Amino acid sequence: MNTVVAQPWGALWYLYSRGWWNRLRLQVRRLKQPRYIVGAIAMLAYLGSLVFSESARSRVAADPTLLDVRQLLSIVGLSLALGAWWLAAPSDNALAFSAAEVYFLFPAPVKRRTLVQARLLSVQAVLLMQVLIWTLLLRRGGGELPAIFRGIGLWVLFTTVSLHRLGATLARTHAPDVPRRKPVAKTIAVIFLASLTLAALRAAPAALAMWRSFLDLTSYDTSRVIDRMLAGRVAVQALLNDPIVHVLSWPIRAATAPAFAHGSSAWLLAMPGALLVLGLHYIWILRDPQPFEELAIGSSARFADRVARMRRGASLTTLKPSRFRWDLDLHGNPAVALMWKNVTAAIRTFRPRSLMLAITIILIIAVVTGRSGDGFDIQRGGLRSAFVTTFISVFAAAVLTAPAWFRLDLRHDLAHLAFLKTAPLPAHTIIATEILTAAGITTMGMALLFAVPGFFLMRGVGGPLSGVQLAGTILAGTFALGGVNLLHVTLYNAVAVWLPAWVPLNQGGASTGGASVVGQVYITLIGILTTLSLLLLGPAAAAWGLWLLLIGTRVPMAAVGAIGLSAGLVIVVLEWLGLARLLGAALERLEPSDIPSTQS
Amino acid sequence: MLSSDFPAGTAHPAAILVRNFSKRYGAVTAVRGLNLDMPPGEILGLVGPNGAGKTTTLRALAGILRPTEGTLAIAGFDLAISPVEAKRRLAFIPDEPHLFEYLTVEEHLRFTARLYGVADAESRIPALLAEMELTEKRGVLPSELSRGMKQKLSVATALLHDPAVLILDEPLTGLDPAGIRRMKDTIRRRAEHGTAVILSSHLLNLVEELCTRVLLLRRGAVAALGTIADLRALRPELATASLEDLFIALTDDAPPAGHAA
Repeated sequence: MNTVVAQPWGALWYLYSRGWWNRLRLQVRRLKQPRYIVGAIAMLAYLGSLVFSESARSRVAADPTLLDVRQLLSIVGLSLALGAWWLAAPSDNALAFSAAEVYFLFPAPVKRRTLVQARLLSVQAVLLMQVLIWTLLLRRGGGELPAIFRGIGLWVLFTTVSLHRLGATLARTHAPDVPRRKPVAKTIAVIFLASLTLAALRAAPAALAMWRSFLDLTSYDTSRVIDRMLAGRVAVQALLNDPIVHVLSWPIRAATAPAFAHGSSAWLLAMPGALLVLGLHYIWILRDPQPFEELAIGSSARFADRVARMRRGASLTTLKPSRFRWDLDLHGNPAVALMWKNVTAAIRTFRPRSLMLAITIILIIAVVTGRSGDGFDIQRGGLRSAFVTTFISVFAAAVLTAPAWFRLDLRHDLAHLAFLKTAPLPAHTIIATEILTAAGITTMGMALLFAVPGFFLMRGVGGPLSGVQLAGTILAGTFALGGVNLLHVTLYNAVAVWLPAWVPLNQGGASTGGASVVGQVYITLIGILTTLSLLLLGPAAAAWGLWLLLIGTRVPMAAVGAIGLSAGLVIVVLEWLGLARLLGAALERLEPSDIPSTQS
Repeated sequence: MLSSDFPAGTAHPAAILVRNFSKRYGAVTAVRGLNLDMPPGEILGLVGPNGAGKTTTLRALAGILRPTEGTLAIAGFDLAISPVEAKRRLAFIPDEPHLFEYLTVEEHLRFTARLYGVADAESRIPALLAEMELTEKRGVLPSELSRGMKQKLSVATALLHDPAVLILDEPLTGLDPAGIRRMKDTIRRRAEHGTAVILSSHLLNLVEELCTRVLLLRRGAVAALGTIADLRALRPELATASLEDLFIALTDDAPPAGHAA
């Protein structure tokens, strides 16, 4: 048999370079489809605005006494990430190869070192894309550093972080049937993190004093939000200037320095340190004694399982039958079975214990702060005002995002389209049941989380309202929220049924990727929120009109509110019924080939 | 109710009636001009090479796909006009069992019972669990089941409402030898009780063993329809050849729409 000397590096380069090139060609080719071209245009428009906008070209004068605020954020973020990688439950995604890589590379005559290098090479496409995006983003107020230098600095930083994550995963993952080695790397990491934390704690009082004195000296902003941000920057800088923290945080500062350098000379000075940190990481990974192949095979299988579960819309958490359940009566309206299925899924996915814990914590804080002597004065601050502000912000965020997060409706069940289509129920009944259940669960969850704590928190804040009036207002608000959620959930389901291929259903974008997909997600969000606003105009106008009409009359205020709310809700229900009919007809036309995740 | 071509005096309407069924995906025609009548109790084997249109036909009969042209009826109910009544009388078992990950084995059956309005579900569920050897697994979620057990659960949910028409796509995939024998017995028993069964399979021995007639599809059209003997009669020179040879000969060069019966 004639053989030649194997060239694994050449093979690896061919594998990944052809892979990247083919993926790029695929992404360009699919731009023929409207959904991708629209998404790509949206993303390009966004990136273009970053490149060509006036603010992007503006140059912010660097303050030589302070680190770049983005570098400060990176240092803080990286420190927290290090803590998570070394101390929290380990995630082995960093080790995961694709099934094809495991099948072809692992039995191939290549050294362990080559496999590690293959892993490092395979993540380069993602890293380079991140470098490109962040280089564009950092042009905003980016000082005098040329883009190419910043790009190289970011590449060094991202590659170092990627290597560190791989090293942490290797050190914390154990292959079955392989004797465990002494956790040297983990011990060093824990000692390092503990020392850094202790040093930071030691320096914290001085940083806090700096924060307070900055606030006393300055008043740029009446709400003092900007003041607090500036003071926070000064305090973090003070913390890093502490001699011990300064020494211990050197590797992190060195890795981040070139990416955030203010000019070419500063970049040149920073590069040797960053390259040293990168080189040490590379040597550490290559010399790590862990059985890479065994660990990688296990991680790859788990990763493949997670991706498969995402694609078929399954939960990523391990489910167990819970004691808390609703027993389904075997006789009666068949649509209730569908409702029962989704409620059961919600109970098993979201764990009532976690929800009860969250409610209890919020309730305790609300009761305690509600009883505190603090007045609600946003200028003066205080425990209560801080919590009320946070509470309202979280509630507003929940209203805007909860229907996007809670997906146990058609967005989940379209992966089971064959089941839906063979169920002996009219399509509009299926649609209505799916949406009503999801909207009901979303509203109930939000009411549990916010209504009762809101009562304790707002008592005394809402001006002349008595306890009963406040309770009535919150109850009315819950009904109004139900109406908003009903339309909001309907719109998400409308996207799923009318445009099933627009965004991947139940997928985390694991394999679809591409700027066009990110653009699609943004467009979907903007489209849904805009349509929701338009749909709510009618109900809001009706409620407001009746309020204005009746408020001066003898009708009690509570009754005026109830009439206005009822009118608004009637219009919401009418709009919803119309949409449900349209969606039912669309569901009847829908076929498995329309849905990417059900094609086989 | 639609009428079939069965002789006058036939006790039941056709369990499955297909008239001029075609299905197109854009410019591609997956199935064209299919006609079929199946009486209750018949087992029809649907065979053909990959891409012949078998799955499309089964999915259309299950109400998952809408025909581009033609009529499909289950137990006399047109799938386009009375879809709910038609679906109440059919069960579809796909090649891959698609179960709800958050419902236990027994909950799948209770859910199906409520959905299909099964009057005697309380007594039928334990019997079906026992028949499928799932009694001990009644409280576990699908993630804890083997591939074969998932398939058994899928079959159990399909049989719970005693369908008039049973549609199976590669029914033996993932089953062990004992499971295969049990599945074949189940199919036979259901047919004896009047259920019309249509099954798609690449296992020609299974088709020969179970099916009363065979529908051979080739490039979306009927290549042959009839008993095995009818199919052999189409190619007398292959009278003693294996079924596999006959199948390959018929799908290689048979003119489309050649009916044996």
